[in-house]
Amino acid sequence: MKKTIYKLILVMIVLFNTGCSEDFLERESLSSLANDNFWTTESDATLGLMGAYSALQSKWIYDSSPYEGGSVRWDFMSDNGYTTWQWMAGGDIAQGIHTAESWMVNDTWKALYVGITRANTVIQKVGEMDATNIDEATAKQIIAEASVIRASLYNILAILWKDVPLITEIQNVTEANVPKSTREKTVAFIISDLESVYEDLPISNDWGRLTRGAALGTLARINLFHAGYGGTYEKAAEYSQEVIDLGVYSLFPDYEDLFEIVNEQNNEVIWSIQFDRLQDNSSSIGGNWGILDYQRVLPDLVQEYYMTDGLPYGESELSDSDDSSILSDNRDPRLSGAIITHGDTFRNGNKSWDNQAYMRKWTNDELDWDQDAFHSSQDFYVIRYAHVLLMRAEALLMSGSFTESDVTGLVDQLRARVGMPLVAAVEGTGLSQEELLDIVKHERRIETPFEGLRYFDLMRWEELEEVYAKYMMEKQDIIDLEYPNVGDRIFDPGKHYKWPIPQSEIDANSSLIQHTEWGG
Amino acid sequence: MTNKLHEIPIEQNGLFLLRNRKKPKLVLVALFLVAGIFASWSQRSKLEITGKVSSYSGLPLPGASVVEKGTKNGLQTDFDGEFRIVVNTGATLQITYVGYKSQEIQIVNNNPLNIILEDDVSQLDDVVVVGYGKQKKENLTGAVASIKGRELTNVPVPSTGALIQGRLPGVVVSNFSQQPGADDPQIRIRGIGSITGGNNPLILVDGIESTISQIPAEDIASVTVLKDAASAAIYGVRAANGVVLITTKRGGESAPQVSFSTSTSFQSPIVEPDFLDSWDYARIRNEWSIGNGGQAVYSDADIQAMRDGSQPDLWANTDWFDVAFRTAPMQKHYVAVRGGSNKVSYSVSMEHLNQDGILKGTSFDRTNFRTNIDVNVSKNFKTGMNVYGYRSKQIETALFPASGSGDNGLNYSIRRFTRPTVPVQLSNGEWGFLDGRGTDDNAIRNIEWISQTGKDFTERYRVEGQVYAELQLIEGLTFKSTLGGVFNNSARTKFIPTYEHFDINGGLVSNNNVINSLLNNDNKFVRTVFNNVLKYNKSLGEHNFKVLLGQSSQFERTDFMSVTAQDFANNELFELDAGVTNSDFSGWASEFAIQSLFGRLNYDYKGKYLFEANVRRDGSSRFSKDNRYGVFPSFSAGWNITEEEFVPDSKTLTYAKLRGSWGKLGNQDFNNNYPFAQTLSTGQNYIINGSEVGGVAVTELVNSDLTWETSVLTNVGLDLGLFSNKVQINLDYFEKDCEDCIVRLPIPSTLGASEGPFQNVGKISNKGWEANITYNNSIGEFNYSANFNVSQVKNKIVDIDGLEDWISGNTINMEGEPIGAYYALKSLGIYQTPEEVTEHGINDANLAPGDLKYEDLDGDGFINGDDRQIIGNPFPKFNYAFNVSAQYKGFDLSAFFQGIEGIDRFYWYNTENTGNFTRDILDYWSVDNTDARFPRLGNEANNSQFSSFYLRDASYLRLKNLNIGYSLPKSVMDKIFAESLRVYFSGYNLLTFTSEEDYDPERATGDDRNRQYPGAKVISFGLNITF
Repeated sequence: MKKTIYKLILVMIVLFNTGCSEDFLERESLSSLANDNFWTTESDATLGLMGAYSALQSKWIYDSSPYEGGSVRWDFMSDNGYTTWQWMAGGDIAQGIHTAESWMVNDTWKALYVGITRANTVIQKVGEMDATNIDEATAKQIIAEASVIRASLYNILAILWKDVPLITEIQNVTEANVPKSTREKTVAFIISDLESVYEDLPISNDWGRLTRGAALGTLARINLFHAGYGGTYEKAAEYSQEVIDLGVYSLFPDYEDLFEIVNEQNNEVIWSIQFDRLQDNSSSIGGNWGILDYQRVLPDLVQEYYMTDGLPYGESELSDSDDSSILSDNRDPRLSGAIITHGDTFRNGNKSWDNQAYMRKWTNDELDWDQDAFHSSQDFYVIRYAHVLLMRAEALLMSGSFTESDVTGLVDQLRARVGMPLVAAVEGTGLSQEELLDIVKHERRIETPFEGLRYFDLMRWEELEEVYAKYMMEKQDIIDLEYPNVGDRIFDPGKHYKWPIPQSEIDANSSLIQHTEWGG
Repeated sequence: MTNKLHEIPIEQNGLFLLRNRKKPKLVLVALFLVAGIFASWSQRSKLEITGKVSSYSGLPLPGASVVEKGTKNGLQTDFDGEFRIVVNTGATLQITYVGYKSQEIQIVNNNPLNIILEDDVSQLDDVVVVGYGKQKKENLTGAVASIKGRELTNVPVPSTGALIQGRLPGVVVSNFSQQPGADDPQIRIRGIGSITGGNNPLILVDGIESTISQIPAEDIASVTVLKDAASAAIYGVRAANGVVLITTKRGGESAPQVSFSTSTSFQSPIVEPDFLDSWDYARIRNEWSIGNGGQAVYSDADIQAMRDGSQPDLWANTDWFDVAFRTAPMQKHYVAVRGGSNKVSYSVSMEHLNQDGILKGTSFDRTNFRTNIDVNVSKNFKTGMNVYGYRSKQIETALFPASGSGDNGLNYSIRRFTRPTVPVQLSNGEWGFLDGRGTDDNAIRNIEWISQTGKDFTERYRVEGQVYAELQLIEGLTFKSTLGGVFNNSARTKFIPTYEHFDINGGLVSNNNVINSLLNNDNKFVRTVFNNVLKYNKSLGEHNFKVLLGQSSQFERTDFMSVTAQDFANNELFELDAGVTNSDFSGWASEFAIQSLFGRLNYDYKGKYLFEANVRRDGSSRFSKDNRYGVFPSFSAGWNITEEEFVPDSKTLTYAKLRGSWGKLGNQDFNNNYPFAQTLSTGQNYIINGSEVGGVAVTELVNSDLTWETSVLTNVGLDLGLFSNKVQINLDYFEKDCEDCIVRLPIPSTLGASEGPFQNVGKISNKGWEANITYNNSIGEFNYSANFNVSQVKNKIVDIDGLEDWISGNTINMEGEPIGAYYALKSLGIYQTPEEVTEHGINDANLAPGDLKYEDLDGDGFINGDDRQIIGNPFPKFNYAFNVSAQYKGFDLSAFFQGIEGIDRFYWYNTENTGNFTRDILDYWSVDNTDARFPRLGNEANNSQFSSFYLRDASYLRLKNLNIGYSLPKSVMDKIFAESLRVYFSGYNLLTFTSEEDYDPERATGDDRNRQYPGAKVISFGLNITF
């Protein structure tokens, strides 16, 4: 009996020793950092800031692909191009058949708020950090960088959706039911936020990080895009001038080479989103899909480029007699810098093109044809010096207080770079405000295609209706040039100047109401 | 060969005493007693009887017990089933053998006896494996279904999991993807209990969590499914989706028995879609293009060339389905040796499977081994071990996956990315990618070339094992400790070579590849399990008690690594070091631990009133400290009505039992080991000064209050045995309610996270019933039996936290509806006249007669997302199966049918114009064919929307298996020194009765385009032999 008791005791020891150890159940993530003790050191702050920067690499924001969307892709919803398949990114929006459930509407919204949330987290958490753990100037600079990121993303939201939830702090699930703010309120917030922090940024910084110039450029852009809705043309002109006055930026001598990887760090680039395919942060914009079958550049853009004598195609004596094809001979060099048309070759002459036009900007000759359709190291230039010159020209004109030479002087800098005749030589002098505005808008269009600006410009100028109608009138001509799958485009000015708030957002956020134009 | 054992009197207590060395006194007493009895018998008149015991199929039955009734005189038959016994005149011989009905024979003379025993199915099922033990079937109070291993053998299919399909009522097994090596079927027990969480049952092989599919069927002794809370609660938090217990064969106390089986099979696709010939394709494609406002794609001359085959390099007639698929051989060889003494018993087995896939470029090769050993160290100490493992190699197509959910799977590629106009190979030897139209945009996927190009193979090494020690502490009290583990390593190598292709004129076709690349994945999985169980059995008069107490802890870890490299010097050398550029790597690891205490009490009074209670307390690492522990109780009771004195003994109602149970079970399976702790994801990196710098961000939100899903299960059952148990009926009704179901509710994306936290907010209900009827009988030497089972489950979402609905693609989760109900436009048929179009008033200028008419639910004149409604149910009305089998002398035959009734699936062929069509497209709407099966060709925007038009009835009845065998008679066996030999023919998936011919109805609800690897019809010839 004693033996039995010993055995029983032994068994009980086994049972209780193995059955009740709490440590056995303590398993923490092996590949992620715990949130509890983060945000204590300068290194934590930098890690968080980099996380915010990396949100800008989204294919829905500053990277792009035919299957997602993003900056370059927005041009294919404008009069610069179209998608050959309606279901590809932006196809339904260009056709005017998008809804609150549209793919691009949903995913762009999501990507923008991912970046905003990360920026909010950095601003709040670094702001709360103990001065003993982080140098004050460093903390201020990190917060300023996050503020520029946040402002850039709200700028896009306010252009596309106008009124959106303005969230500026860290939230948990129970706090997530936030109603819309007006466009004016959102814009006023980001402008005043940037105005209070831009001086914390250095004029020159590690390449890839935001600088004072980038913050000022962003301020100029927000003011220009939302003039009358929280921004002003005066401020846009003023901040553009401040960038110029920094004296560190200049135009890169060769327009076509500017968009080559080897030249992506130069004095024209004020802020670029960094990509590196060898480090698993590859960019799609610089892949080869621009010259594949996913989309075409519309003849309307090709025709916008003047002949080398500064006159429009057709008016100039240099125009080709065969008007069924569009050639790049004798044209503003920016045409072949941005677009591949009939007769052009690529990859050392291995590939040539038919009647149709394709996007060449960002595309790299040295990449492998098929392998690298979606992978490149090409950085995307969010703001370059040419943008600043154009912004100042437009802002000055729109503010009403300008001199002709101020405006033409800015435009002429861009024309001079590519060897095109200056304004005075072709358009003449004594131009009206309206004439000057046309010149600036023309220059803006041909200088900056596929840089994510055209669709926004048409939205803020409220010219989408007009350009879509023009497209429909020219549709048969485009088909006759053997462009494939040329679909219809519809524009309803009563609602299409705002994107609908994603249905899933309305479903998940009880305080959010759809735009009235979209049935809310 | 003789064996002394056979001559030992088999009287059980005597044997026990003889072996009980520690009680010599009792042994002596017993010996005296036996001697005394023999002494008194020796005075009577004796007869020496010889005889032979065999089964209906003519197999001799060695080891059958032959006892003179009422005495202790008895022995066991020898290896030939023969015996010699001396009995008193007029005595009755009682012959018994496990699995057979016992027989009594009155001895009148000494003529040799030829005794044939009848199969006894009810006895076979006498004892079933339950959680941490065994239970007599008649004492079961829970809902348990089981099958014996022998019902699974002789059907050569590659995946053992597929064999339990239809065999167990309430257990739905679906073979959705049948790619060789990746053909684990989906198992669902009593419906779906969870929206976000896993719905897979817990599968235990000899008590250790594992998988079923790679175990040779011949190794399996039994499969038991624990369906209700009473039987499964002992597995607590992992049991809500039911538990499958698999036990493997062990050695017994016998001479070594060698079994060998071999089979050769031929597999071919179950469904061969009837695709259009090139000339019909060209015509349809033209009409489609014209109908959409375009121009004809193929000229009349092109079509003529297709018909007369005059330009085979430009206008071919290729059936790409035939090109892609083949009749593929499969071979299985199995050998086992089992036996043992009263000290040591063993079972050693090995299997080799070699399977070519029906889709070219896919195959599977596997070698398994298993060793189970038990050792009786002393009277009260027993130990043993299991070792099981396999090595396998799965080969698949490298350029495109053999099956998959995207557009790249080859089965879908045939439909979407090939055209019959393209030849497989050109006359200049180049592969065909283009037809006479010639443009690069239209290059097809040449399946033949794809199946030969590149390398993609996965090698797996798996070892599972356990050791146990069992100690008898005092009479009735045992302690068993088991330490087990699983190790699995999967290594994948995928190499894409360089290639280039030329057209008939030597021009480069654009689909070339100038950089070769390699992907290596390595996945290491380790699971360790430590179980300790204390059992105590005690009877106090007519009151019988069984108590079980136990403890279990389990730990798991997965390590994953992935490496790529590019630019290899040639296409033969593809080890990582040979790659020159773009090498990249990634990896992660994840852990999980659970520990538990559990207990069970069984009580019965005279075997008449049964009661059982289970409880388990689990602690899981997947939840925070405060929410980590859960307690899962269950109670059940049974009443063996026929044991009551007031129920008269009757041949009509032989047996009746009423059962009832209630209990709670948990589910913590949602594919995330750390759902409670907020973490910052690493890898959100950025580039500064041209170099990558680390970045972190919150990408998923968590809920630190998260805890288990709890399911409450109620079960009522009735078991009946009628007409001397010739008819057996089991009926069960159940309700399974998930109360705090884990749901990942959609969150506003303004929170900046890709996914919301898991929350315990859903309520799901399943109600259903199951019936199983078995009939066994024999007429002379003709034995026959039949079985029918049917089950029904109604699944309903009761609540998803006040959220009205939650749409995902073409399905919806909505309160009051089943999980994942089909949600799309409702088709009202085809517009027949322009007037009908006008009258319906839809604001779409392109609508014309022949187009699909949809219900405009909100009446706004537009057909859009607002007009979607619930149009169908992804769950079947009934699952059923039946089996008939017969046996006459050496011949046996069985036919097993399995079916699903009342299920909807999308049939999505012929709604896209980018590939070939099936022949039924020819029945499209036109003014001459208004009673058409398909809408007019054209207006794709309207006619190919998800709608009820393409949702069809996918009910089916399938002849799952037909098995015809012949066992050679004993006379022949003697000559070849074998004990038994059976040859057989087996047909698997031979016939299918369903309404749509071009689709396999057995597919997952989301697989609307037949993207998965299709199922095979398998015809096999096999041989089983035992020595």
